Parts: sequence; structure tokens; C-alpha cells
Amino acid sequence: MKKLTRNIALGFTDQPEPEGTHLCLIFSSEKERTDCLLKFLLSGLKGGERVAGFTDEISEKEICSYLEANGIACDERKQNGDITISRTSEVYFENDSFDPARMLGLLTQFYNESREQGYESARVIGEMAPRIAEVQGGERLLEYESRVTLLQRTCPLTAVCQYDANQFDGATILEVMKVHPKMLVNGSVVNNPFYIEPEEYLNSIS
Amino acid sequence: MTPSNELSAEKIGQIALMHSMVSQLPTADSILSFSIQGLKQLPGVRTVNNLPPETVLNDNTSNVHFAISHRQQVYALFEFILSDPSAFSPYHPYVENFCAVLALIFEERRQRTEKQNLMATLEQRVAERTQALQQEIQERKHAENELRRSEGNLRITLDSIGDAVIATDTEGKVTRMNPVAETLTGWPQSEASGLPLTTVFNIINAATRQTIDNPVDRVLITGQVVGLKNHTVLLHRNGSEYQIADSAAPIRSDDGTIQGVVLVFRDITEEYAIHEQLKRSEKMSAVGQLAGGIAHDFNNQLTGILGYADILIEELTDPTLRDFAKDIRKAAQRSAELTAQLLAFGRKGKYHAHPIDPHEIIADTIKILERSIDKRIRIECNLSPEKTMVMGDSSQLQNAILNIALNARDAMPNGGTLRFQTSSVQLDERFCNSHKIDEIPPGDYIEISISDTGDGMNQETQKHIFEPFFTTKEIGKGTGMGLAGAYGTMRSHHGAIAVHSKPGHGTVMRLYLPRIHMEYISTEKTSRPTVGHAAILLVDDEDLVRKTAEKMLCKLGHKVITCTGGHDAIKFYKQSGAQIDLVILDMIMPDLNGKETAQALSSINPQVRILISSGYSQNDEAGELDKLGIQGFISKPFSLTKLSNSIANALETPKIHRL
Repeated sequence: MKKLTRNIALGFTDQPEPEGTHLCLIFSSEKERTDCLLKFLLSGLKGGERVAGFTDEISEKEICSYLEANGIACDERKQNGDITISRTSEVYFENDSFDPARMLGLLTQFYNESREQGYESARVIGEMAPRIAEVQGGERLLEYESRVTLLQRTCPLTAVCQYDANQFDGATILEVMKVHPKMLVNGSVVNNPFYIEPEEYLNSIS
Repeated sequence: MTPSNELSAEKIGQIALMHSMVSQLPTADSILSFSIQGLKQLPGVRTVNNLPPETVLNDNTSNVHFAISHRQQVYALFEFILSDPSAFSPYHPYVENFCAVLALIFEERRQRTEKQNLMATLEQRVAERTQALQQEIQERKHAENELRRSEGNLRITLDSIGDAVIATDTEGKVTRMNPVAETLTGWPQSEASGLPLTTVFNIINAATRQTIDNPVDRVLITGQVVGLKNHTVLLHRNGSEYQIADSAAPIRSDDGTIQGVVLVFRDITEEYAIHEQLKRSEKMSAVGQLAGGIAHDFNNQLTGILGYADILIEELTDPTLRDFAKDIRKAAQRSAELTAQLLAFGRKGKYHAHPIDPHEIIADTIKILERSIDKRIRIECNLSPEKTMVMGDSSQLQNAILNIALNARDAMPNGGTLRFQTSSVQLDERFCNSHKIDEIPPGDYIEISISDTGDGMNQETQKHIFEPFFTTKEIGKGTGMGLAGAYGTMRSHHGAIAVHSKPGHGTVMRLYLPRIHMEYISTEKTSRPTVGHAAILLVDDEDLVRKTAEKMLCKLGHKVITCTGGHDAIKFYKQSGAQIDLVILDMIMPDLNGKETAQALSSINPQVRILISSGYSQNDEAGELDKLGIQGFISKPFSLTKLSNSIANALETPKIHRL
């Protein structure tokens, strides 16, 4: 029996996308960074989803101000567990290392709990920090990204990965593009022609 | 596997996505590494190199390269190392196009960077210029503040100094005035600013009343400091006048250019008046000494003429000859009157001081005037009820008052009012200075005011009216000695005379005489021989006088012993003083004068009685002479009767004491 996939609003684009999308945003301006994160979280809350945002660049206060300005009682929703806001370095680099398995476990747990708690769905947006190149396990970033796509097949957690073009070199960015099936380009979500399916990609690096 | 020379939509999509993405990458390195990584996905491409633009490529190589260039400027070079050129070749146009896009991006960024650099440079220059301007503005503000402070200091200084200051520009127009200048000119600065200096600073010569050249013009022409001429009078806006002095000087800039003129002046009206008064006093004093000296000599001669004329009248029996002698006496008497006036002016006339009531003198004078002056002249009298006494010679004082009254009469040829008024006044130093009567000390005075409603006098006439022989009357109608005599009389009585007059507004003469407290010293009258029986020691160095007087005294029946000088008289008096009833002593003698002789005689006999005879007498010594036992004073020339009366008085007169 074929599973029905629900279309959801991502916030930063008008076109609906199926839940469980793994999308990459390569940005070079502050506005792109902020707009994408805030709108994505807001649309998720408005859609009854449980949301999480991981960033070192945007403060929790700024995020809450935006949400409250758009009718979301931020503190209350945080207490309810509707919203989770954390710093990238704290979530991704626990013990100063990057462990894809732990991260995938967290995402799985987050999604499953959400579903169990009655949320329509769950979504996560995270901005990868350039410090990834320095921490132990950082070289496994693309493997992790690819495995996220694999995870979404069973846990259709919608995930947006933000990469600052000013912080990552061009070759890395193109490699990142290979592990994201969709890209946000000029405000539109497009299928990524560089995308390599997880099985193939994981096989190529194994 | 995709057959060679067939296009893959996926690869075209990758290239298109790269098109879209590269513009987001910040640096050329990032773009190139991104592109290399992307282009590796094309079929047949084994690897892609990024070569420097200057790399010389071998045309024989099987590799393919694409230049990323724009406007003939190469930015980079992609070299594709291929395993299957035919698989890659369908993508050549897309790669070329992609490289062109990169070139455009690079060029756009180069231009943007250049523009940013230019903008940064421009902004830096703007910032530098802004900073410089701010510095300039700050310096200018500081300079302006300094200028304002300096202006403020200058204003405070100018406002504080006692001199008047007017500044002009190079056209002679007023630019600044201080408060003193505003007061003296009557022009407030707000009205005077911009006006020609001559409008505000209107000056004339005090004597000629002609306009004086503007000193500012001379400063502007000569560039030198110019002093104002003496006797410069500033006309106030309301017509009042100030005597002023001082100078004008150029205002120069740092390079020496004249930027205007500053005029500094002050009101010297008071000093000028005092100075003029002093000059007048000195002149009067000099003229007085001259007149007194001449009169003294005249009197000695007249004593002889008058004395012998009297003797001749007594001795001659021929009526014709007696008439001749009487004419001689008459002429001599008139001459004596004239010299008496000269002496009065020179304060060397007969001065026999007694305590007198000036009101009685005024009353007697009015009686004389009522009988003699034009009935169209009304005489008013307003005398103070206070009993007032002065020490003086009633005859001289009456002459002085009469002469002033007669001058007043002459000033009213068509009638008017002659007014006498007295009041007791206490003069302080300020009053004395301000009323030009600074020759007298502050104290208690009686003020005798004699005013008329006549023609009045101008300033110039007022300056000279007390000078001997000065008259404005027709020849033969005045000797010019009346007011001169009055002046001398007032001075000899330690008083002063002040004149206040204005043409068309009449004249007021105010006489100030010191009031006294009177004390009579009781003297025991001794029984002495009266007229015709006294023993008289006559001392005079002038032969003519001595011989004439000797004959006159003998004629009167007195016993006469003569001495030619003081030493002889003292010598004689020591030996035979007891038999002498009266000493007639000439005041002016060459070896020992009358005063010294009197002192010596008094020391020999304190009860000695002395009659002083002189062409004149020093008033200041009158009190001292009284203490020396001098009982009288007879002025030369004298007649038999006058001599007789003086001797009688001298033998009987009580002593008076001047406080």
C-alpha cells in the first residue's frame, strides 16, 4: 500500500512541498539567512507542526520577537515544546565532535515524539557552522546529509540545511549540493540536478 | 552509458544551476572551485584545472581549455583533461557560455570592487575633507569666539574708560562709539553708526566760532596721529558746548593698511575754565603790581604837590595867586583819586580795616544812586535780615559796590531794574571751584548780589572787565578803572567777585566777603595832647614828602622831629622816646621798612603810638601792624585837614582785633 504524502508550506516559498523534504539553501546575505529560518519556523507552527531551529547566528530573542509579531506566543509555545531553538554548535558539536549517528538519532527521536504527541508533523532547520571542518567527525558531514535523506523515507521529517556561501568554499558547496535532493534557488525550490541518491553516494564514499 | 555527442538534460540542468549559483559565491576562488567541481560532472571529463591566465597552452594538446575572459582581459583558464573528448564536445557551447557568465560576474565584481574602492576613496576623501571642514569650522568658531571675546573685552574697555572714543571707517563714517562719546555728542551709537563723523562730531574754535577741520580727514591723508587744536569746542546735539582735547589716530591692519580712524577726546571744560581763570588771576596780579607801583610813586609826588598847595593857600594873601594854588590842589586831588583807584585795583590802597555792616554800606550806596541815576531804572533791595559783619574798609567797599552799580546803570540806557540782594552763605570747596571763585577758601561769607536787566556781556568781554583801563564805553565816558578797583578791593578784603552774564539777559555780579565775629578790646584812654600840641617823630626817606609833611605838621602847631630812615628813628626813640606822642612812619623805606621800624619801636615802648604813612599799605599786614601799636594809617597824598584828622584819630582810636 502506497503511503500518502502530505504537502506542506515551507514559508519561504509559495509552492507547497511534500513533508519529509530535505532541502538545501545556499545563501550569501543576512536577509536570506534570517528570512528562511523565521518563515520556515512560523509556517510550521501555523501548520500544527513541531519545529526546531539550530543556529549560531540568530538569537533566540530575535526569533521569538518575529514569531510574536506574527501571532505566536513564543514563550508559551516553547514551554509546550512546540518550539525548540538551540545553538548549532551545541546540538551538532557535542563534546567538540560531530557524530552523524547521534544527530540522526536526535532527528528520529524528535520526529517520533512529535507524532506521538499529536503534532501534524515535525520540521527542523539548521545552519551548518564552518567549524565542522575543525571538529572530530566533521569529514562525515556529507555522509550525514545523505543519511538524513535516507531517514526521511521512514521519518518524513522536513529538513532545511543552510550553508553560508561566505563561510564555505565553492567545492564544498557543490559537494553539499550532491546530498540534497532539493535546492532553494532564487526563491524557488528546484530539484537538484547534482543530487545523488543516498545509496549511490554512500556507496561512492565507502 | 550516454552515447557521445548526445546532450543530457541532467548535465544541462547542472550547468544551468551552476549559472544560478555562482553569483552567490563571494570570491573568485570560491567560484572557480565550485565550477571545477561542477564541471567534473560532464561526460568525458576526467579532471578540470584552473590555470593562471598567462599560461601558454600547447595547441597540440588533446585537452580542451576555455578562457574566462571579458574585454580581452583573461581572468582565468579552465583546462579540461578528458578521457572522452567526443562525450564532452556537445557541451562546449554550454561551457563556453558558462565561462562567459563567469567572465561577466568577474567583470561586474571587478567593476563593483573598483567602484567600491573609488567610493571608499571618495568617502575617505569626503571624510577627510569633512574632518578638515569640521576642523576649519571649529577653528573658525574658535576664532569667532575669540573675536567675540576680544570684541567683548574691547567693548567693556571702551565702556569703562573715562575718555570718549569714536571709531570711523576709511570713509570717515562712524562705526563705533563708547558711552562717554554718546554723552558728549548727544548721539547714541545706534543713530550715529554710518553717519559722517562731521555730523556727529561737530567742533568749532572757541574764539572764532569757526568750524574746525575734521581731524579724521587729516589722519586718513597723512596716516599720522593728529592732535586737536587748543580751544576746540564740541557742539552737543542739543547745542550745549564742551571744551575738549585729545587726538585722532589711524587704525591699521597687520599689513599696515589704514582701516579707519579712532578719535579719543575728553571733556576739559572745567579744567579749561580753571586754567583760564588762573591765567586771568595771574594777569590781574601782574597788572595790579604794576599799577600799585606806579600809584605809589605818583602819591609821593602828589603829597608834595598837595601839601605845598595847601600851605600856599594858607600863606598867600593875593586872591589870584590863592586861586592858582586852589587849582593846583584840585588837580592834585583828581590825580590822587585816580591813583587811589589804581591802588585799590592793585590791593595796595589805603586799607583801614574796621568791623562793618555791609548792609549799611549798601543802604548808603543806594541813597547815592537814588539821587543820581535815571529814574527809569528801578532799584530793588532784598537784604538778608541776618546781622552780618565783615572786616574791611567801608570807603573802599562802598566804592566797589558803587562802581558795580554804576556799570549796571550804564548797561541799562533805557531803564530797567537794578537789584541788590544779600544772603549769608557757607561756601564749600566744590562751590568755590565751580563758580570760578577758587581764590577764596571755603567758609562763611556774605554774598552781595548786584544784578541788572541790561544788555549783558559776551564771554570775551567778561574775561576782561576787571582789567584796568578796559572799557566798552565811549572815549571820555569811562576810565576803565571802576570794576578793576572793585576787583582789587574784593581781593584785598579776602573776598571774591564773580560775574554771570549773557548777552540780552542782563548781568549779575556776586561779591563774597568773609563774615567775622567782632571783639572790641577795651583800651584805656590816656590824656594826650590833641591837635596842635603833640610831639611828632616824622620818619620818611623821601625828602619832598618829609619836608612837606614837616611844614604841614608845624603849620598845624605840632612839634616835629624828622628822621630820614628807620635806624635814625630807632636811635632817636631809644634816647628821647618818652617825649614823643606819635610817630608818623613811612611804610616803604630802603634800609629798614615801616613794619620793621614799628616792631623795633614797639619793643622799646609797647605803648608807642604810630601813624603809618604810605603810598600804599599791605593789607595782609594790617592785623600785625595793629599789634605793633599802630593806631592809624594815612595814605599819600594827604591834605592838611586829612593829616590833622588822622593825627587826632591816631591819638584816640581804640584798638580793634581781627579774628
